[in-house]
Amino acid sequence: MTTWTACGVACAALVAGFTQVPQFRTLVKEVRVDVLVTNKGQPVTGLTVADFEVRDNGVLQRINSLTSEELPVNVILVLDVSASVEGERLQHLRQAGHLLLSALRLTDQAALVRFADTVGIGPALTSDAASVEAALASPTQGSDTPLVDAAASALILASVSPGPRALVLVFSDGVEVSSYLTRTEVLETAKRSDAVVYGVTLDKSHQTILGDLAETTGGEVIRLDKVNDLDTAFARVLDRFRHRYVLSFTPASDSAPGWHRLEVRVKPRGVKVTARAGYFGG
Amino acid sequence: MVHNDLTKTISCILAAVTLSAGPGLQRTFDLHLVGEWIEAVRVHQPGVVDAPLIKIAEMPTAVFDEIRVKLRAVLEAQFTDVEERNAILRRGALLHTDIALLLPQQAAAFTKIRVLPDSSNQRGTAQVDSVVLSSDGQFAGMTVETAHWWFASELLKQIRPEPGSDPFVAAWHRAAIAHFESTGAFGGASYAVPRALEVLPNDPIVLMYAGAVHDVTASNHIQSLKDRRDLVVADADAALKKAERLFRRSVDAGGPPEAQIRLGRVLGALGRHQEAADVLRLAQNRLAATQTRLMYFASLFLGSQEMALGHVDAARAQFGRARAAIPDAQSAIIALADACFKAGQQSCASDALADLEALSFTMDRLNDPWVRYYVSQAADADEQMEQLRDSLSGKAPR
Repeated sequence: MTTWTACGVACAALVAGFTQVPQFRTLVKEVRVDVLVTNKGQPVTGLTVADFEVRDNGVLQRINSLTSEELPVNVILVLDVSASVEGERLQHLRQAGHLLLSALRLTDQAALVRFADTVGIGPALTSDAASVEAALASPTQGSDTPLVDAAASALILASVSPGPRALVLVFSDGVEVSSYLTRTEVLETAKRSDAVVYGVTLDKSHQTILGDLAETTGGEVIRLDKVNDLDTAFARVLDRFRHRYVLSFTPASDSAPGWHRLEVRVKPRGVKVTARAGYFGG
Repeated sequence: MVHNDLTKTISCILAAVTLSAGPGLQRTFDLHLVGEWIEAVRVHQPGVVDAPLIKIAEMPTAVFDEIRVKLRAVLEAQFTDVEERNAILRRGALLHTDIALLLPQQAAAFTKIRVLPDSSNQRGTAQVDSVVLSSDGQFAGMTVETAHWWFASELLKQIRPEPGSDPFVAAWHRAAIAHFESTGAFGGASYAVPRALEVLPNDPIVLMYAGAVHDVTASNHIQSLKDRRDLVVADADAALKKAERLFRRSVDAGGPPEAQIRLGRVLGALGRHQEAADVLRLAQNRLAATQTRLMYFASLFLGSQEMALGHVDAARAQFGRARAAIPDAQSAIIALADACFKAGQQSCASDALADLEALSFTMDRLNDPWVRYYVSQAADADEQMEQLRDSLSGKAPR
């Protein structure tokens, strides 16, 4: 059985370790917010601008646009291919990648970030799914799990590449042990990225980094009970991602620099809204 | 214990085992066995699996406890000269070190649980040197470290006039800890370090190695084991503070630039970024151009501190210095990409990722010193052990 778990408050970003939070000014023209609306776990479709309400630091905003399935997607697959994923798991992982790539549309792009002893990017975003599939099939080795470095690389890749929306799909069955960047640093990176992180894991331990990344970016963590569930998991994530809404608004020109807290609400009652917690103003 | 860089061990004092010594342990001391031990020590060729080494390794382990307690009296009876007695003690320590290193199967039979603190006691308490094995951040089992290391250190404590002023004793403790740390066996190191500090409280190298034990304890390699209820894992912040104190003592005692670099990184991990940057800058200025690994570390860590202080250009410059030191090490590239991205410098971030992509299929993990950060302070462990053996290659006293 597969458990779909939306990340809760308990996996909030860890920023307490920083005594000084550096301020970097970036110009914010338009803010895009990727939103998932669910009812009893299932995506709610057919909503319009009139159904949404967005507040930026508590101030109600005028929504410029609301789009959904028709937008092209940049998918960055971030795969743990360390020793713990050898054999049967690796076969299922490749099958999961194959089904995901098969479900891409002509306007979509995909990239592959693999991590074991090192973080490897290749190919970078491309509409040539066959090249991604070929890279998926190539052998790897290593026993470490630099999950944070890999996730940061993927988030940056997603953010500096053109495209209306990005899905960073991270699979790991291990525990972060060997990254140079810290958990705090990657969560700061996630705050500055428009990409949405979906984590897929077979790990039964209380690992929170995937949950923290999902929480920060408005994504979800999918915990699989059986390795066989992996086969279809990625394609299901993509399908779920396509059912999200992308709304945009233009913050006031005197928008203060620093972190802006976002609140997204929808009018229909009894639904759950999942979206990024905020953005950095310039 | 499996000693390789994929296996990390941590100390875990599991339980104090109380031994109730039965009458059987109150044996008459067999001077003949001590005589055999001394003769084996005399003729054993350091670093070689020879007959004397095998003979001692296969002795009943209860003998070692008796030797430990009675040896001083025997040596004083046999050798009038202090230096001759010291020579036997040094060679004895090296023989037991060789058993631990060269005959691990036999060495495993000797654990501290078989040893009474004092053979005159009817009851005593002893602890085994228990270590936890982990791989890829996950629990992989438990084992008990051989007591031959401890036994060797006990022999060296008998060096006169002061073991702490004997160069061989210092070299042995350094080499022993380096052996553990270089192989990722931090469980063994956590027992070796207090024994070293007992006789060498101000040795800058021992202090640096001691700091490294706490530094790794604060890392994900060890902290990831916290989920297990049956293990006691030290709090990361407390471990970092212990590491800070020990690295600082090493620096104050004239320790190498590496101790200063590690101090700087730990200060940064504790959130004291300005202090960390100051320390790292001092360390960087002490380095020669040929010390590429240390230059990489100093620049990489200083770049992170500059970034935390909001000095983007300075951070980029330091990450650039790290890349200049070791061009195909990926941590500096990822750190640079992250710094540029956070500063809104997208083309710089893209360029760094392109470099990472270009390296992705040729990269050797060991090219990045960060991968071996927690063990590389002891990278010369084998050389240290060889030098130790060479120092005793002359003939032993009769």
